[in-house]
Amino acid sequence: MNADKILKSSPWAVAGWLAFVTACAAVIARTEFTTDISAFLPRSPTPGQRVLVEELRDGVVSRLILIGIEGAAPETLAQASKRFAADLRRSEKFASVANGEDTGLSGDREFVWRYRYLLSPAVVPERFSARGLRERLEEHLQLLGSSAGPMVRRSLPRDPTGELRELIEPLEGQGRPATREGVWFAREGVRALLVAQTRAAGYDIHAQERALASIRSSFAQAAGGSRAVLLLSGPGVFSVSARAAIRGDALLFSLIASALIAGLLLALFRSPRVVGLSLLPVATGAAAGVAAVSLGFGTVHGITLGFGVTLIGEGVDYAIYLFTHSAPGVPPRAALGRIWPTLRLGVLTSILGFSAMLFSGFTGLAQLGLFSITGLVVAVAATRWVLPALLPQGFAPKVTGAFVPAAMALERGAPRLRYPLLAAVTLAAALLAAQRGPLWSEDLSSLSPVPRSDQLLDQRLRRDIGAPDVRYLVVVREREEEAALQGAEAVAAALRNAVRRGLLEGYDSPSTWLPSRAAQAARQAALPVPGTLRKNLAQAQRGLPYRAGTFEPFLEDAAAAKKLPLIDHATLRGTGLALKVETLLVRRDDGWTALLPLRGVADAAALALEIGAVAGAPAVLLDLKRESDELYGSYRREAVVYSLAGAAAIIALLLATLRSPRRVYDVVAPLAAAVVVVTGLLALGGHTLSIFHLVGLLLVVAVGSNYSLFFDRQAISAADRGRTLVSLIFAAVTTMIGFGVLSFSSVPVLNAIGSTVGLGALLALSFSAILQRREIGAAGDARAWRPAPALELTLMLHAAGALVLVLQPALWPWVLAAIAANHLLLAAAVLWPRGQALGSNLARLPASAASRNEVCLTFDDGPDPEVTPRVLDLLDRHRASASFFCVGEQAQSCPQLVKEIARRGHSVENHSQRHSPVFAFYGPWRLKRDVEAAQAVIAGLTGRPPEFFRAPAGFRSPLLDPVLAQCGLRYVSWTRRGFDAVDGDVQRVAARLTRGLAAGDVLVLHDRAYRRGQAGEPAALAVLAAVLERIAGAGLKCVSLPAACGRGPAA
Amino acid sequence: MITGVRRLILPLAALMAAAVGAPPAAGADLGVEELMRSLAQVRSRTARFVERKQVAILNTPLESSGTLVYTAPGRLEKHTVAPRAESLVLDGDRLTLEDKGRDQKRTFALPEYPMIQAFVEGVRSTLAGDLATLSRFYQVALEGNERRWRLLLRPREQRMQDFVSEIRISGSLDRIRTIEIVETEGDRSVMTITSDAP
Repeated sequence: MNADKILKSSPWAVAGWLAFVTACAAVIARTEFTTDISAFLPRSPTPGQRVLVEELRDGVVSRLILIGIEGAAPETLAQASKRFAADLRRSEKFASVANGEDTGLSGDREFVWRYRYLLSPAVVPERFSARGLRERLEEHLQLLGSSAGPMVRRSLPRDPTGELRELIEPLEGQGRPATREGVWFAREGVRALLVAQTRAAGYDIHAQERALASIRSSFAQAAGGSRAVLLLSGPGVFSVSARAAIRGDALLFSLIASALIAGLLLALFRSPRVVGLSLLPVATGAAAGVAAVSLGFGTVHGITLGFGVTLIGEGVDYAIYLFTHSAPGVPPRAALGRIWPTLRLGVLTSILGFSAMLFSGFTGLAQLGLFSITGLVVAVAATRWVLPALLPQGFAPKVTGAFVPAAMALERGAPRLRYPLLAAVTLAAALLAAQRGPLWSEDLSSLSPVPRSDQLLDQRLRRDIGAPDVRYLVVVREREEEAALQGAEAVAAALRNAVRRGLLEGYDSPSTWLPSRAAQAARQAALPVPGTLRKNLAQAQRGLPYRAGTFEPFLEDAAAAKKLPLIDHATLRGTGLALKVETLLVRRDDGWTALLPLRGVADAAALALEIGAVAGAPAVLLDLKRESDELYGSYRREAVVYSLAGAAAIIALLLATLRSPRRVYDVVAPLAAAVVVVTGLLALGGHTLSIFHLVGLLLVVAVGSNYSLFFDRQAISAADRGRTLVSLIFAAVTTMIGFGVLSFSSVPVLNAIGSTVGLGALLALSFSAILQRREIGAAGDARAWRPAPALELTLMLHAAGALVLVLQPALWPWVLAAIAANHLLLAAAVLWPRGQALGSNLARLPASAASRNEVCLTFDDGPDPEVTPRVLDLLDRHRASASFFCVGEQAQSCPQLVKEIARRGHSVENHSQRHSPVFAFYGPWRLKRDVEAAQAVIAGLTGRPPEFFRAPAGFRSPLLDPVLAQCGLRYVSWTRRGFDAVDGDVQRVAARLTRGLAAGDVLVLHDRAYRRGQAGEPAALAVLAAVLERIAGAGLKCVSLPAACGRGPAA
Repeated sequence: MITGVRRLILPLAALMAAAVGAPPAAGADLGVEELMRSLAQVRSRTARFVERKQVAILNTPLESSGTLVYTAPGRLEKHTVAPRAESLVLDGDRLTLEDKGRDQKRTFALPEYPMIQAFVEGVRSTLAGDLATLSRFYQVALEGNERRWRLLLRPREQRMQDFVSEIRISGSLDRIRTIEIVETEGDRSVMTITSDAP
């Protein structure tokens, strides 16, 4: 078929598709793809979350690369470290490279020394008075004599007030690494250490990758010839290697999976073109998804793309359904017509499942929602309108026919596994309920694709270098830089106090190296003019053994400091401190943020109070670990809530479409069972579930709903059924291959999704086959009993409860509550006469009877010598047939009347032997005796055992169903009842029975004189004539139940 | 076994030498290794000290006194009593300075301060007889004999040389008598270790 023909056969669809794809491509071409993790920030973040994400994005911590060199003698390592660092310092990519050498630091020391009077918070006027100076000089005299003497002797003439010590002392105890051969070494001396800080932000993975590449090449030169090896760690290293691992694995495993799937499809359809076409819906969907997210959000996140394509993977199935249903004589278009309603419903359920994500407060999840919904809609549209036009004319895969008998045999055998399956589900549910550890992983590291060994290396290097993970941080936000610095100074003053009280070990502040202009000016003003200072000093020195003229350098420096220009960013440039200030004082869109990282926090609560009490500074103490755990926790909680909402929406959709709770149960049960069993298996395998598993489970539901809907679908022929089965098996096998292969990946994301979906798809299909409910055989046959959903669930709940009690006895209140709730629901089901929960229930006539315009009048509680004969006469007069639900004891007391009912062509059915008000509370044996007694009495009188049973007052015991099955009885309730047994108002009774009367209705009256109308007539008799006339007037016909149900293919 | 025997022999030899009143022949020079081995035998020791410092910027020397406590292999305590109560405790890698008068305490991790470490190891490694560590920081020379030896330590690193030109430790047998630190710019201190404290 050439292009010309395609266009002739379906010009608009193909042209439209081409135009659509072109438009998508145009949008995608201008789309910005990001890997910025702020997409995973809630839309209205707390200040803490915002700082957390900003720090992760481009904070100083995110830019650190920790480097170790080991594997050679210390001297060799030190040489390598020096050459290596020198080379890296020349690179544009690094803001700083530290290895313990003085190089960068001499500039810093010079700066601190020069500006000490502007930097030191101790500079106040009193310090430079005669008395203040005297105190310092006496103190230093003591120090000179002490063991610390050598440390102060050199600087004393220039700095008798000890400003340098004031500045340096708080920096001590920061756990700097050991120095050996002039460079940093791990304590044991086996590893030389370096810390590099990239210029690029941590989230910029491309830049991080380039930085790492230059580190590796520098090292290769620096260590050339020696056996030294390079160790690298840090956030950038992690993100680069994680991306490489994900890319590598994703590429490798998708290649393997694609090859396997393509091979399979090729074997089935014998046409490369068809195999290619099978990808068309998914590819079109993905393009549309990217375009939609791009238009909706402005940018597309890398994760959206990766997960999104996975989530719309079921699009491949659409093509398989279409191809497999095509057969000789059934061209693709006709095949599509047959499966379209089911396919459409399947797509709708998936869309509903994903749509919950659209409302997520996290941009990442919302993007994923939009992507998958658009993708699926477009994929199914492409399957519907484009694919048939592109298939070769006369396309009819023959090979699929060969699989049909085997598939049918499998399907026939499957229901035998029903009970083992229910047991497995029970076991899995019990295991999950009794799970000792947390089922859901609580911290962010579960998302980390970093292997355990790398995390350990990171810990080791961090310990060596003394760069602990920053956990506590004080944040000061202001509109102006000066205000932020003043705030930081106020906080720093409180922190100095807190350090003395032992609440923490130390802190960093941007104001240490860049004090606010106000503070600097105040310090400058605190220095006396040179003449005064000289006088004060002379006075202070009197009687002390300092040699005359010793402190001339001090007087010079103080005079110079008074005239120094204030420190600003330009002054700092070129020192290592500039970088520190830059990372701690950050400009954001809405102003300036000063960050004060804390070390060795001993009492966070007391500290928070202390900081909260700082006047005039909008400062907050942040616990980054708690923030990140909370962020992840809320992310996960939201995902769980939205998944549950999606599940609820799916159930609502199915209820609205299938219009039968029973069928909804049949469609949903296999999916729920698959989810429970997969989750149970994952828990059993020791997995802690992460958000990836949740995405996997969503996918299982989306893909699996197609399977169970196809099982629910009425086939039009055995061949059609066979093709459905084969298509489902192909679809499930491709899904299993596609995802199962991923479960071999060591990257947590891929592994989690792969194992969840691979297993889930297989289970969803098998469970759909096992749990399918074949139609019940003809009425009247004793049939094998199968518990109704509510009973099955009740049994499973009790078994699971017992198991949980064995595994985790402490959970008894929960088990008890669950079982109590279960019994309450059962009681509600008993009191709901028309419900299907406790077993099949004929609440209206079968569709075939309705199509014949039949309705059925039923009379309960008879026979009655006064009422029944007159009812029979009235029915005769209207040529109507009816069914009489007789009470066994009543029948025994008027046997002739029962025979008369049967003789006049009505059916006599079973309404229990004694009509006990506590019938619903009977035990199983008593129920059986009662039903069988009535059955025997009526059969004895009419010669025909009843086929139908109705419980007294319609209250049906949960234990009744197996008894009815043994007696070959079907349960009947009603469509509408008149309440003639309790209401004497004839008008109302008639109105209840005839309002909205329609073909297929089952009506209930009583042939007993419970209530009488105004004329003294029994209520049933008073309304019967009117009701019969309405029925006839509506063109409907009264028939007995066996007549309505016994004929035709209805059953 | 060998060390056990040696532990007995050295003091015995010293005793015998003292008994006969004849100093060992001048030619029987003491080897550094031998001295170090002998010092390494000492498990713990307590002594009094008097330290006299000459500082260029002061007119008068500063004098202090107190006790020294050494516990092998790495702990050294210097408790100054006069003129002010102050203590310095060196334990492994950590140096703690405590000023009892002002109730101040500062702790340093030695490897972070190569200068102080070199200083401290000059004394401690000598006490511990740890020649390997000593040689890492200093060029070691020894003069004299067993009864009257003098260890001369010259810093290897330039940074240290800027501060200290030489450390001279003299002693007799396994006992240190004086520690003299000669600093650049004319500062010097002499610590005389007088006798065992009770």
